[in-house]
Amino acid sequence: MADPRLPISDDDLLVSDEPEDFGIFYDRHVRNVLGYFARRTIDPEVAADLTAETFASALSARRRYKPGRAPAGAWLFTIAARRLSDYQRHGHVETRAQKALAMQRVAVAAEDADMIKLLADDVAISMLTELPGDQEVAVRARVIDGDDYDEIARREHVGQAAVRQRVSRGLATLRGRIGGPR
Amino acid sequence: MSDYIVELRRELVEAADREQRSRAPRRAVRRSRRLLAPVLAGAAALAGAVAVTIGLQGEDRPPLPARPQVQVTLKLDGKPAGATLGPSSASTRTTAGTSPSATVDIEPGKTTTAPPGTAINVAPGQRSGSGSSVWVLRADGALLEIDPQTDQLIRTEQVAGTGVQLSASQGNLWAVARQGHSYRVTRLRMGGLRQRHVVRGTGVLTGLWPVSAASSTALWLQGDPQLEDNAPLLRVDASSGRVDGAFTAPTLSAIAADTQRVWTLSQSGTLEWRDAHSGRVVGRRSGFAPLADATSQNALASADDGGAYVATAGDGVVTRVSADGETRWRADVDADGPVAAAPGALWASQAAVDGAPGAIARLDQTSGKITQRMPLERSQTPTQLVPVSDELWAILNDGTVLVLR
Repeated sequence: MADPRLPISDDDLLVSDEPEDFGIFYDRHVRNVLGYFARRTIDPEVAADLTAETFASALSARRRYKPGRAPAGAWLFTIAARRLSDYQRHGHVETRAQKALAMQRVAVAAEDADMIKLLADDVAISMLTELPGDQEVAVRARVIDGDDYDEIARREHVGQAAVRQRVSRGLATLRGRIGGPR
Repeated sequence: MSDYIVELRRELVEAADREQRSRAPRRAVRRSRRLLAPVLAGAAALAGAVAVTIGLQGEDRPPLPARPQVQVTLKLDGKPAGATLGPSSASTRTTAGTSPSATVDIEPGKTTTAPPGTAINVAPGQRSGSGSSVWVLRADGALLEIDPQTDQLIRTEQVAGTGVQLSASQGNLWAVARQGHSYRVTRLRMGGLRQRHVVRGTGVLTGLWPVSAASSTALWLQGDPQLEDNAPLLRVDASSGRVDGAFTAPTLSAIAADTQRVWTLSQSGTLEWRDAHSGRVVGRRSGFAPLADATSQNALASADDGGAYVATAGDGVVTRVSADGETRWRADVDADGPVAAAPGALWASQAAVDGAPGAIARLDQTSGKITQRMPLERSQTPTQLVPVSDELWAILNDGTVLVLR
């Protein structure tokens, strides 16, 4: 479903006082940030934790964001790079920003880990087209576009369970083709 | 959507909501403090020595500054990526793409918005100039030449890609632009703007903070360290336009260069100075404030005695260091953003604090004391400060050019 607020620029979203606007900013960038960390850490759990700390840092720092100096995406990735550097230096993911915001750690389920690995893997994404049509549609909608199972099911005129099965099979096929565990 | 992504989003939006609700009372307290400050300052002035005894000067604030005068406010379309004072492009100047009827007269202190390519003019003879041009690189790659004597837009050139930064050295302009997944450095040689050299970087510049500086002999720059691991400090020879040196360097937050020396400040707060000819590090000093976050901007400016000015946004301090790296003075001025050294004055950007607007401050070069302060509008931030003769041209993030004297 098209979001009528999408034309709002990242700059506007960052300086907005409306909490939901930060959610929209997050929606626009979370997959790129997850992919960035996953490519560099080869560990979906670490990538997820670094992503959480990056967005928490961005949330804390957004009042100091200065539109016009750097694109908001670049600004976000500067924060991401700092968090990565902290992780590489200390060997663990800092959670200071999340703690300061009283945020709870979000657990990474097996399916989340698969999704994060896929986001990290350009080869896997390029191989999506080799999946059977219904699996490609399901994986693309779920993993790349971030659609809800419910939404995909309605669009494809099938049940949620069928969509889950297509995503699961599609991811398993991709893992097998790129050499990962099935 | 993945459960993880959904859950993290919910946590963040809830945190934003909590933060938003907790800000309202804090803002009110800060506002009342700010409103109280001038009242107290006024009382202190009246009370004279009594003020000292009741401790109102405990913060050792600089004296209440006089406001520098705005000579002209120009409005450029688009977002400026950088600006510099450079050589003029030709001896005979033409106003590109405009008719005389499109000329906009600007009164000192007024803001006028002009469409692209429109000449911007004030009455000739109002101000003195240096005979050079002020060049502004916009984010869309448009390179504008403005005559500081007449405030006329002389010409608009286009460089490929997204404008990131502009530097000038004798006879050369260096426009750094991002294009796809690489960056291009275009050298524009004056005298018609026809000779061009394009230096392609191997890394990616994402339009972050100033990472280049030019002297009369070379351009120094570092690619984006976030996307190019261990990005070297590159030296581009001004005469050939070729990269003639690549030096190992930490992730930098600012560079300043003259013909003899190159100063670099790392994001972690280490100042290094190199021999401009060999590129060798000849001195190093750590302990400057690290770059606090991605929204801040450190800055360096060469001083005329071989030393430098170091502005660190992490602690808001401007430090004057001598040629051997010793501290001459240290001024806590809420520094954040570009600095510019001109004969007799140092100009520094001041951060917006607690929602109050930022400013451009003039500092005494021998003491670091603020002597003048020019408040900006709430959303304005300097992207470049360019001394031109006895004026300062402040290029702001919203496309405004303030000419201060």
